[in-house]
Amino acid sequence: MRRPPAQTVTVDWGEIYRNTHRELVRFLYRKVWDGERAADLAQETFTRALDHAPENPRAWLFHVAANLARDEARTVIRRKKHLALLRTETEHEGSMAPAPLAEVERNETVEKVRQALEQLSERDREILLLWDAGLSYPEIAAQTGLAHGAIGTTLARARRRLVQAHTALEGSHAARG
Amino acid sequence: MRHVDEGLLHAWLDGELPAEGADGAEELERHLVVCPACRARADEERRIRDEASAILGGAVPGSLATPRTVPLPPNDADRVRRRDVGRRWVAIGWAASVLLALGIGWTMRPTPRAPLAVDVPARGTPAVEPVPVAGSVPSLPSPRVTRDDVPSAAAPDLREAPTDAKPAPAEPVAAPVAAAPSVRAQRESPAAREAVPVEVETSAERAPPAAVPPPPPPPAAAPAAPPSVRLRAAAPAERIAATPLPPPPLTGIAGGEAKTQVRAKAIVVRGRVTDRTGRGVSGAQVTVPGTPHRTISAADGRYALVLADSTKAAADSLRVRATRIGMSAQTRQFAPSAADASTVDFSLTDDMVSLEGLVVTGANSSAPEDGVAWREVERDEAERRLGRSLVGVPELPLLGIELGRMEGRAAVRVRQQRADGSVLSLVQQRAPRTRARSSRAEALRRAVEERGGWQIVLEEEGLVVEASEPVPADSLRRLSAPRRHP
Repeated sequence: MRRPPAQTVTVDWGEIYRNTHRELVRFLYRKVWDGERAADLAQETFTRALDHAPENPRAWLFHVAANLARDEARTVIRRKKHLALLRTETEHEGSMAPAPLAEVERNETVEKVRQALEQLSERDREILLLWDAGLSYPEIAAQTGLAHGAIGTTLARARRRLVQAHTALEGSHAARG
Repeated sequence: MRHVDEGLLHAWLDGELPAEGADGAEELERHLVVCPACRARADEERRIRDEASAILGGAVPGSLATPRTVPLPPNDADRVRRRDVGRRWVAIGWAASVLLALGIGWTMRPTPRAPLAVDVPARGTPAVEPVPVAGSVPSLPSPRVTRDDVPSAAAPDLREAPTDAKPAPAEPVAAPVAAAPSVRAQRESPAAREAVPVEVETSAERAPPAAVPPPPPPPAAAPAAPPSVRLRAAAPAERIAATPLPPPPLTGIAGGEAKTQVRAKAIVVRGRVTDRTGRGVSGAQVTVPGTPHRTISAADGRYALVLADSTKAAADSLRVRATRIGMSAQTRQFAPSAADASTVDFSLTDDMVSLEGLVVTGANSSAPEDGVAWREVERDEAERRLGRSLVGVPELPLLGIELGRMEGRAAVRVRQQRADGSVLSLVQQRAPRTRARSSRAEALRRAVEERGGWQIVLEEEGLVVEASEPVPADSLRRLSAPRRHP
């Protein structure tokens, strides 16, 4: 008897790349808070993805990305800092003069969001970031192991906490300024 | 009646509730119809959800251009162009340069205050060794990138010639070309039309300057490229050869387009800008008048300018000029042919009141200070009453400082003398506190318009300044230049 041809699962990584790269970088950025490192990690994630054909590619991507971000934090931090410093130095030497006010303002904005995010629990933050990265509830459930029904609750709590924390930061800033 | 629990509400808002079932969307919506309390809660939760999204939206890297993926034909795997990004960067870069040109705050005090512009990690040696690769490959001329970009107002710093593959600061997130086996960056330099364009193959985008290999034949490569970058370049290259996924092209090629030229070593002018006390002056603009070469001094005052050979060939001696808002300008001569690297130092003296973040919008307006009783005051008092340092146009003599009241709030009028003898007055007043930060950002990016008379509106840190006359100062003239460029 003839065996049916083996089922092959093909993942169109090109399509996913185009649709997801931006969100993945954002997601990573909110973990490492460095645009370049986020881009690096995103590239690394996609590079690794090429070898795989998971059932749920997007969720899998974010899973890998989150792991990479966490692992990178554990690796030789000093060496990376050194390299990053070198990069930053040469960037600034070779780059245009920074836009002082626009840049400073943007950095302040980002910093506030970062501080607000840090006030969330790790799980709440993770789920919120995954949602913001465009994952659906089933995808979030697949990646985090959270029950589908609990995701809404978690998001509700995370969002409220974020808004509270951020508003408090804005308020104190305005009072100072 | 069972009210809706917030988890379900959010799931519903997110569109993630199944349509049917006890916890389904239809059931929930039916309930909302009859329960005003839950409707109100739904509105509130929607507001929270939207606000959370907006907040998160602020946490993004400077630029999020997805590296464009193009299906690369197998025999053309390394020919990728990025033109749009260059142009966009140029526009942003112009705005950045303009903002910087005027965005350096400086007050006449014994201890210079660190200007807002240099809010970056202290630079190391601003001078960049010109093309270290040249040293390692003596037989091959090293490629030079001359980027004489169209908006002269934004003429980017040519020091990045050795680092021509660097992403611009406006796009800190650039897909590392390390993931791409090799990418050709093609640029054009309008100022050096006679040059034969040469394609430069860059193997690592964010490697330090040494990573610009000479053009084909096979480059001696970039031995100084950091190992980590190299590794990344190696692995994906094989993969990409095997899979249809194309590598991301070079993003954020610093500054528009410039033809790379095969040249002898370029001229590097470096030096230090100091004040009268010998302290380094950061944020000073160092330019070669008549050319687009331009750079900014680092925190310790040091700078480096890499000049295109066309510049060198054009003149036996060049002038280098250092200016800084709040300080007098200084011009010095040097002979480019004398040495490959020339040192030109500047010593600037304090000159003027500060100028911070100027936005120019055009409008016909009568002098805003009409009908106000002005009295002459000392600068200290004016700044005390205003609550911040004063603003003035660089390099214009100060005629007087006056205090008055406009719309019930203290206002200061700074009067300066323009080159033609007429008087420029800058009326400065704290903006009402209700001005939201987002409108400030928006104001700073406003394009320059010209509708007859000029009204200069400075909006920064809650300060509104209106100037009621055309301002011919150099820095402001630069603002009008970029209108040619989108």
